[in-house]
Amino acid sequence: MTVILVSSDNQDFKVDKEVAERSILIKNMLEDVGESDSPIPLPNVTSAVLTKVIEYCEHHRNDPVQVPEETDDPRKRSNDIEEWDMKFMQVDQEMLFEIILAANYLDIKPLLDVGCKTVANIIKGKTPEEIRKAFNIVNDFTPEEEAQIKKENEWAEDR
Amino acid sequence: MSATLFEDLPYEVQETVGYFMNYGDLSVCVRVCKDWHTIFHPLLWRHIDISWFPDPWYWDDDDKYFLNMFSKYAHLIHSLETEVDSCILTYFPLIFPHLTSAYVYGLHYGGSGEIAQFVRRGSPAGWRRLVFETLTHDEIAPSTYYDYKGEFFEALLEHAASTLEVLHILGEAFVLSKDINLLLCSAPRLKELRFFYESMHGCSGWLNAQEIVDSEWVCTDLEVLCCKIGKIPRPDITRDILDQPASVGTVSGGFEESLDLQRKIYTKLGRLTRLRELRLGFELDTMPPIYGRYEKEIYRQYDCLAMTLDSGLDLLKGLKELRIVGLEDMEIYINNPREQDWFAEHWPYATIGTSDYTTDRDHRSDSESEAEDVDQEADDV
Repeated sequence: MTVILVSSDNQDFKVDKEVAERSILIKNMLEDVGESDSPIPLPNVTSAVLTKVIEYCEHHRNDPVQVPEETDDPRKRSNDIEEWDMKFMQVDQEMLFEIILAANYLDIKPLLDVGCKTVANIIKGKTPEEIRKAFNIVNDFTPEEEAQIKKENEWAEDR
Repeated sequence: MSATLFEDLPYEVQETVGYFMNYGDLSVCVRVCKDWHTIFHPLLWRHIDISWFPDPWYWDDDDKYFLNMFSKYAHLIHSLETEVDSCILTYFPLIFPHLTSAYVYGLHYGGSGEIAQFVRRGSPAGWRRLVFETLTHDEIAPSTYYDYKGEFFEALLEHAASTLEVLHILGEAFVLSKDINLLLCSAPRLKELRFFYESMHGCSGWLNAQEIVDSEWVCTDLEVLCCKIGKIPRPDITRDILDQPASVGTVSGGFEESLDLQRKIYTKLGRLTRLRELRLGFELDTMPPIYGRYEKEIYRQYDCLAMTLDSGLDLLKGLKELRIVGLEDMEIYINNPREQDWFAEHWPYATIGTSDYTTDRDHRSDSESEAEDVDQEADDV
């Protein structure tokens, strides 16, 4: 069985129901509507982004539902990304954030996590100035404020 | 349309990025700009391990500064890892308003009052996860039973009954059956209850079968139950124990009484259909060398469920999620084809631990390979 998804720029995407249901939002919509072949509008997702999202869902169509191990401890977290996902995420920064926004809107938790891990990996090992440069952020701290914050959090630097 | 930036992501998503970063990276992120400080600073304090913090006589300026920060940001702490007598807890005698998860270790010689006090310092909204661990034998002395009687369970029921999801009491402990039972009757969200120690014997947490049959357990979501269930008469045990007839050392009671009680217990356990792990027995082979064969003979369970079809095992067939079953060093008779076939049919994915100190190593490896065969058959099906 297939469903038709319509991007914000009015393009139709015909996908297997199983693939579309990787999105909890779409899954719930389909459950609410029941048997119906009317197209599903996705006004928040452009065709360029939807193409990527569908590519991800196609590749992961048979993945079991995973309950990630919940931990509050930063030392026990993993930001490993499997090889295919790593390649999949090699896009420009704007597309990366667009994919994350779409995954959040469509409620595709594994894709959201891969996106967030990718951002975390970009941040990893950089100085504050390098991060500002990488993400186009203006430093709104006074030098005194920044020094104060650095001092407050020194305990965490080598932990 | 302007380019999408990090700042265009919803707050929860920005926060999720923080969940994939370690302390070092988080401590850099808080310095990037004011918005990033707002997002990432709470994550830096969400989980705190204070076990590295030195005793007062070693404090330098950095340690004093950390202590200041600790009291300033204590309201951000959701999860704490600490030694029970950590000086930070002593020097900071306040309630942690959002603390819902804790791993407290190094418990020794103390009693219920000390950790009852700790339990009262958690979030008024209630604990979600509590893990306590007694020091092991080797670390300090031959015996370090920690006393969980009385006050501790009172505090626990008062502060966590409606919220508690996980309780692990690890290491040697005195726990009363009536307290454990009361928890099972009053903690509807409980998912994991674990009384576990590799060389656990007589005195650690166990449930009295007679006490639990008439009570109403509310923890229908329970996924892990690691606890002995005892005080069941077992007139079917006919071998000598410690050179005396079994009837001398076991719970007295006739066959009918025994079967009736066992069926009630199986029925009770059979309702916990979400169980992934059920451990009713614990391996005595890992007991410290100071314990000989004689002590192991004493600590073996002779008042447990028999786990045979005749005793009502079939009432457990609804436990489809089981993956780990621990039946070590219990006086059970499950090596008959009937029981083995039942295990293969109803718990095909479960690993069933049955190692037994009374059988020698060679024999043991035989029975282990049998267990593997059973697994193999299950896979083939």
